[in-house]
Amino acid sequence: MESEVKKSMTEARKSLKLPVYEGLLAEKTGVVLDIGTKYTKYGIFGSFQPKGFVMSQVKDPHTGKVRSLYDYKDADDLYALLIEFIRKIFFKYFVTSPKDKRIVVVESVLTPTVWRNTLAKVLFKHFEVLSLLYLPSHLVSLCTLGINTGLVLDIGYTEATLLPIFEGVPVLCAWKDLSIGGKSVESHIRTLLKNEVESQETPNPHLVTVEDIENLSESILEDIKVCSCFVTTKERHDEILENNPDHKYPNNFLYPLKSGKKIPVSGLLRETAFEVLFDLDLDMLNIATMILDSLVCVSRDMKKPLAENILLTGGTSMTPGLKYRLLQELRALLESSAYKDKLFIKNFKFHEFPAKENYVAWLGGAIFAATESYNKRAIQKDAYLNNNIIPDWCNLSVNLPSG
Amino acid sequence: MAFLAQQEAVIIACTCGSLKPVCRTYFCRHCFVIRCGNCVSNEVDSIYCAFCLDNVTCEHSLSVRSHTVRETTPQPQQPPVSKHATPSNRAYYLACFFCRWTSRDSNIPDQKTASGSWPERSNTHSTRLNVLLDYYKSIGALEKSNINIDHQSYMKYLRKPTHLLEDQFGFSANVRKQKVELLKKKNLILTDPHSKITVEGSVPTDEIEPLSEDFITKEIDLLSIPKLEQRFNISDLQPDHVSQLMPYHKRLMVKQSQRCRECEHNVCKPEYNPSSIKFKIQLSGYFCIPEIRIISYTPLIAGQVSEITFKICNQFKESTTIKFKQLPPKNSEEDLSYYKTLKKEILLTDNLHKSTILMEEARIQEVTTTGQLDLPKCELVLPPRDDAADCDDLADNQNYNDDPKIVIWRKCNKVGVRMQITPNPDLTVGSMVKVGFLLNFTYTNTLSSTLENKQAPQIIPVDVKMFIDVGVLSDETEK
Repeated sequence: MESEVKKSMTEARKSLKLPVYEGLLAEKTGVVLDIGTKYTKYGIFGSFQPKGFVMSQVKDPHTGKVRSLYDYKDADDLYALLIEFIRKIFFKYFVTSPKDKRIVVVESVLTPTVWRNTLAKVLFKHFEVLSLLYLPSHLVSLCTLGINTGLVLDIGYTEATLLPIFEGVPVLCAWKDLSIGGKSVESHIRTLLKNEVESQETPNPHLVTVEDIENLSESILEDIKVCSCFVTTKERHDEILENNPDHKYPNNFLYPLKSGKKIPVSGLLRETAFEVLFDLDLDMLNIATMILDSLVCVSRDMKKPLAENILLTGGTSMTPGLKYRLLQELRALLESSAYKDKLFIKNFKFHEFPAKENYVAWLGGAIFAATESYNKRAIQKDAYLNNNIIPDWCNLSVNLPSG
Repeated sequence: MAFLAQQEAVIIACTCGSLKPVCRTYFCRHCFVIRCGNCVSNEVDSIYCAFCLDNVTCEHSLSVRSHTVRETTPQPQQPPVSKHATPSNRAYYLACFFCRWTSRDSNIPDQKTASGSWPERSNTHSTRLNVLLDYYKSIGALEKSNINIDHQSYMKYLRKPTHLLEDQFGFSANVRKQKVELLKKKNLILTDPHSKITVEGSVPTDEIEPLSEDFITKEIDLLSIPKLEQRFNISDLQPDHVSQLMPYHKRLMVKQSQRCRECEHNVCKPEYNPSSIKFKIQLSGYFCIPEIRIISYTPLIAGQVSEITFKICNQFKESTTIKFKQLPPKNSEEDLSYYKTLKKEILLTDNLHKSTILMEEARIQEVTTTGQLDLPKCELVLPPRDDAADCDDLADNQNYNDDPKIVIWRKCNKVGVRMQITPNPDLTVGSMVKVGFLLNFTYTNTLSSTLENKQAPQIIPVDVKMFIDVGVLSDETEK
């Protein structure tokens, strides 16, 4: 009897080994990286989903503290951080050496020059990769839809950036940028939580104190945001503003911490946490005005096609209800005095991606990288080592007006 | 032992400029320089599973389901399997003993055989994405073939009136051929209906689903909502309910080997077998560079002389002679030449293959010393390491002409050295006193003597920059 059980267990263990392991990169393929402010997406050329997501942070080699890649002090500091990070990605997640590999980096067009130059230096000089291609994230997002025109709004962790693309050409004069995103939502949640805890009259020993809220780690705030918060509709939001007594808030719940204490999360918080995206700031801007302001900037014949091809990408845009609310806000703003005489657009239309929004830019990069265009456009190792520059439009040595 | 050596009180400067404790460095016995993790190239030797230490040469890996109960149980590493059997018709499914998940929960069909290959889940959008991929590939191919036609020469050809005169005078056969080729190519690419793939662009919509009422009316059940990490493990689905979680592949581990960038020899190479902890090649700096440890020091007072005792230990299997030198002044020519930039171009003898290796610049970490060490001028000879003599208390060979003021004791390959240290007078109480010096030791290259028979072993002097955190400055009044 016992031996039979043993036998079945060994058989079972064998069965656990699922086939196909893509850790070893084949000769022809390469690696697509999308290094976001919060999460980095990594995967191989021509695959339809990233191999994984990893936090864009790394242990500082000197101090041992975990630091975000984007908190760099200067180029040398960034160089050290990126070496650690790229090493982690390749040796831990891809189980291969980056030497003589093809790389695609999907980045925003607004990426600082020091960042892209340092990343190229790390990849070429330290890791000796074969070739490298930088792709603009807004542009390649269109590759996932098979269209040439679109207004791409990327709501990420620290900022929301918008760039219209018309017939495959980015309309740079109409780019918009606002520093709201997942991070501002999380800090808003923290303030709301603090208010809630403060407003409690009798302190409950099972609940958290104000100090606990202040020391709450970002991952817990992120978890509260992801598991319970949503973007409410415009009607419901107006009800909240009017303090309508008939308004029915969503259910409260208690979020347990490892310390045994619990965070009271109210229905009001769940419903209003994402309002930072739609509240007009001091310059009277929110994500809806970004779209309309950009449409004001583009030339007249572009307005309609762009308004009817809106792409929402980035992790924060996955929030339930965001797209619906944005459409409501856009329609309302269109009637307002600020845009009534400037824009004569009747409708807004959104695209649905064949992917999740948080890796759309990565997917576009993976599709682009699988084509022949990669070899034509990529910077080869020898070319980089000879003149040590990454071609950029503002660099006249590579971008002379051709006669 | 490892802890003693890893303490960062005594650090050495690598050739590339990074500062590391001696056990974190390598010594390349071919170029005779110190290397560290920053200036060696890493290679993947073998891949293995971290849980079963299986050497994965075949293409498979284990799978786990990204299912954890919040905050309570750890993530199951290897879900054990139970067998569901009916007499006539046996079917198997996976079950986890930790969280009671079964493969039926995720709608994975039962398998006929226990070792049956479990189906791989494919992306739900793969048909559409494949169409897109083919479309962009065709555009890429088009672009590539366009490179072959020189666009400018084609335009020039059109602009010249010669092709208008063609009817009148005729072309030479050669030119006509060229022209036909050119036009054919151009037409083929631009108009050939067979080679052109079209794709239907995505259709935008203005009918967006309003927010589901469930968010407002339903209670939040934290146990049924997966965390972000769990969602990311299934990157194409990113489910928002635990019932949709799927098994995913376990990550494998690598055994790495390190290679000197300059001479491309291995400096560290473990054995391929994942369960082995031995090395085929291990050129750690710990075994070559004399090790320095602080034994004791008298209280450090700003501007006053104190005494410090070091233990210097030769871990190498050949004897070594050491000298102490002052550090060269900062950013002087001598100082910068110490950090050799790693760029080097090698012209092979046949002049056909030119390969550029090592293109990284030195990353110099600045160190400011806050004390002066009175360095002994004499040379010290350290005998080779001998594990047997270490245990022998009687072994006592005092045939070294040591200055008794400097060398206070000597045992086998270890020597106790006394020096005088003066912390800088402007140092505040409680701050770290850091001293630095250049240690010159001789490295005996046994490799050359064995290769080219009967040659005397080569003795190479090597310089190492050493920085020592002696201790904190104490208060004068406390004494």
